[in-house]
Amino acid sequence: MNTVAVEGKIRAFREQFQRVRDEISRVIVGNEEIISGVMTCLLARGHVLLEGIPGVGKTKLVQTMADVLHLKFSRIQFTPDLMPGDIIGTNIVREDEAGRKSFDFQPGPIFANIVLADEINRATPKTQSALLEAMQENSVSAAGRTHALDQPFFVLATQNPIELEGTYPLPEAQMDRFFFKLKLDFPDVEQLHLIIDRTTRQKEPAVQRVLQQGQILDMRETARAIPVARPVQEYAIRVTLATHPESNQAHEMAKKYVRFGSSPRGTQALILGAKVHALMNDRVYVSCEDVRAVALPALRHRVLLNFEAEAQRMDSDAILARILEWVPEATA
Amino acid sequence: MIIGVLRELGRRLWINRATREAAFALCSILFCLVCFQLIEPAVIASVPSIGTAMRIALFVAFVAVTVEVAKRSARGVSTRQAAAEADARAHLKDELKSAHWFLAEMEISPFAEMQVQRAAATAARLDLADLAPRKLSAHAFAAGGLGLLLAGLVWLTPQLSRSWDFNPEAGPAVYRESADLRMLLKDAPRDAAIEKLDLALRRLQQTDATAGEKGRARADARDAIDQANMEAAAAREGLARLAEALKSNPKFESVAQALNQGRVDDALALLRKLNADPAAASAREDPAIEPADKGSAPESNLGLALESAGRDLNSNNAAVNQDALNRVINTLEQANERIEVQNRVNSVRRRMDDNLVVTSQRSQLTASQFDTRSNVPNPTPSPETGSSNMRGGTLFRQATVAREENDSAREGSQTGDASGDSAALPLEGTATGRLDAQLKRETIPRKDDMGEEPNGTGDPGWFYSASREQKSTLQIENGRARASYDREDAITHDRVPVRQKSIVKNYFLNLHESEKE
Repeated sequence: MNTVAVEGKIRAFREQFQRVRDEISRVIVGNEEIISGVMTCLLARGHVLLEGIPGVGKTKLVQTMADVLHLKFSRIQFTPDLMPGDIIGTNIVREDEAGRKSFDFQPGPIFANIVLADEINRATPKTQSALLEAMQENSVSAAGRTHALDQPFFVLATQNPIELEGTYPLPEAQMDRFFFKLKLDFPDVEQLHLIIDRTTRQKEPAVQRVLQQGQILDMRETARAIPVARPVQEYAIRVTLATHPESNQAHEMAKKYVRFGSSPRGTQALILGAKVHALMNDRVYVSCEDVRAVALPALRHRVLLNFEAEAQRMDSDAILARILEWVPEATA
Repeated sequence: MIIGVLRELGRRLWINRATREAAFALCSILFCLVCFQLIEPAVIASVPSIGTAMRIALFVAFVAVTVEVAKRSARGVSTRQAAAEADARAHLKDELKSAHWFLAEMEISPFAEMQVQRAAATAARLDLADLAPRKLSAHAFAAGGLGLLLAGLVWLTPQLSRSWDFNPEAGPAVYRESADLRMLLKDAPRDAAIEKLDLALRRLQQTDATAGEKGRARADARDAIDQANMEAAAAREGLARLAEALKSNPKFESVAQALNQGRVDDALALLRKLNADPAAASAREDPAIEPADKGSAPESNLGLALESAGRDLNSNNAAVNQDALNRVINTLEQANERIEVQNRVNSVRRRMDDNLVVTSQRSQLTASQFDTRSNVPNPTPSPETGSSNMRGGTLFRQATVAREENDSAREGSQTGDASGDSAALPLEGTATGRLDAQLKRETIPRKDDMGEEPNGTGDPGWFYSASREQKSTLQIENGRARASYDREDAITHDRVPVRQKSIVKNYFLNLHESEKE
């Protein structure tokens, strides 16, 4: 591959990325960063956890994205009585014309390219783990057989941060499986006007499918090919280590408020997300600025706070912001 | 392309860093010197021995700073560092840093190759003069400012140090003055007081002596001068008693007259002539006649020795007479020497008092605080300085005190100073009334020559009486307690209390105006 081909791939990546974003923006008001974050997760082979109060457009965003991408979409509404088999699928007894009976695997809703796990914290941990296993392995096991999931396999889970009764908060280990955790804020006045204008008329805006499955896989390959210089990689590692209270490179706030720091998956998320971010900004290398840009969604759910932080209403975003200000860029 | 640009940038950065480091070191050194220049007089005044230690510590710190700066400046700027610096200064978002790393460390992939190409184009567009301009840093300007400040401080040091009672420029002057004073003692008869005075002057001459050591040397010098004056006073008193004893003997009448008139050399010559007389010589050669007090211990007190010898001289015993004559001659020679010593040390004293003008200009309560004339007649008329030869008055009983009829034989040497340094001028001005003691010229009425004015030829019929309890004209509100005086002293710029200033100033102004009149 020569540089001209590389140039073409990069240009195509940016154009396709921009087209998806523009198309989603026709329905979703504001939240450009959220849209970019979701796309980043998709292109970095990750899954995303969307957190926001009810009615801010979490589910709508995912639905719109599924409409824009020419992919198979399924939605699972998580409830306490949801069973793993309801997600993965189950073997059913099927009788053929000869009267012979056999088990036949009936795939569940997880067998799709884009899976919306709505209100994931309402299902029992058993059901949650079934989904999370599939997210990690990109395959499911049922009745002794492993079934590979079609690529791209992209899970978008949503959860409500204010409603805790009757919920099963995700364990830290399972939270780590999510590439990004994106927070949807309440829209401002202008955005509310736009939302009302778009959704209370006779005809809601429609979107077009602008990206095929193959194109998405190509974009994934392109993103992975972006080189990272060692100083930038070192910066990402320093940021990760700064969240570890027991590390000698830990930030003072991490020592005071953090119970457990980010896992190596966090560093992977930093680098992969930074690669996509670099491509989105027409760069073929990763800079420390790209790392900083994706640090909050990549690490906020991987930094576990202690009781003191909760007592002082300190959230991980504030700690990470201080760490990002504090960690110096590698000079050589 | 990238490496070449980065090398050039690294060279510029190194030059800038070396300049900045050197300027910082210079700035630090100058700052320390300025601080040292400011605090040195005060510190040395309080702890004299710390001066050398401070200088050594300062020198060690300078050496350490210089070595550290040299080490830091010696390290060059690598191309990696230059790339990082270029990224930071030109806001290139790690473009050159990444490209440099890809070139050096990584197998070039198509993406990396493309990035290197883009970085090369970016590097070609870089304006190195803008990225690393060759201009002086803020430290260099600070160093220049501190250097100017230091130069100003060095130039102003004499004026500043005056307030700390420390004047380095006075050192050479004091050295010259001390050397001149020692020259005055060069041919003087060797005496304990002379030795002590010479030692004190030698200490004053030492350039590395501290202010405290010099003060102690001055005090020693004054002690030696006082001692010499006391001894000379005793000698003069003895001469007077000798003259009294010899006056009744017609043989020694001329000697007594010479002694009364202070002509000790003439008296010695007359006595030597009598000693060489053949009759006396024959008596001296008679071995049968023993001296009356042969073997007796010599008198340690010169006055008593002279008196004793005078009494023996009037004895009818020829041997005793001859022996007494010899003793009188010897003792007279000693007395003459002491008087000579007194003259020398008083010369030194007068010169020292003149030299004190330099000190008095920095001292409190001095006339020269308001007058820069060097020949101020009353340089330091205060008990602190010990000077008292003041026209019209004296703080101490320093005049020759004539013995009254009812006085004991030793009265004269115990109550007065025989230096005769008190001027017989009337008091001048009203402001001089603040002095605690004044001299009053008094005439001694005698039966034979009542009212006769002293003419220097006969017995002195007058003397200065020192008032012991002269009421001070200083008002009570001006006579501050010592503690508050010190406090006020500390807060005024010229070290004279505000409330005392007008009084002191008027005192000396009146004094000088009286002189002009």
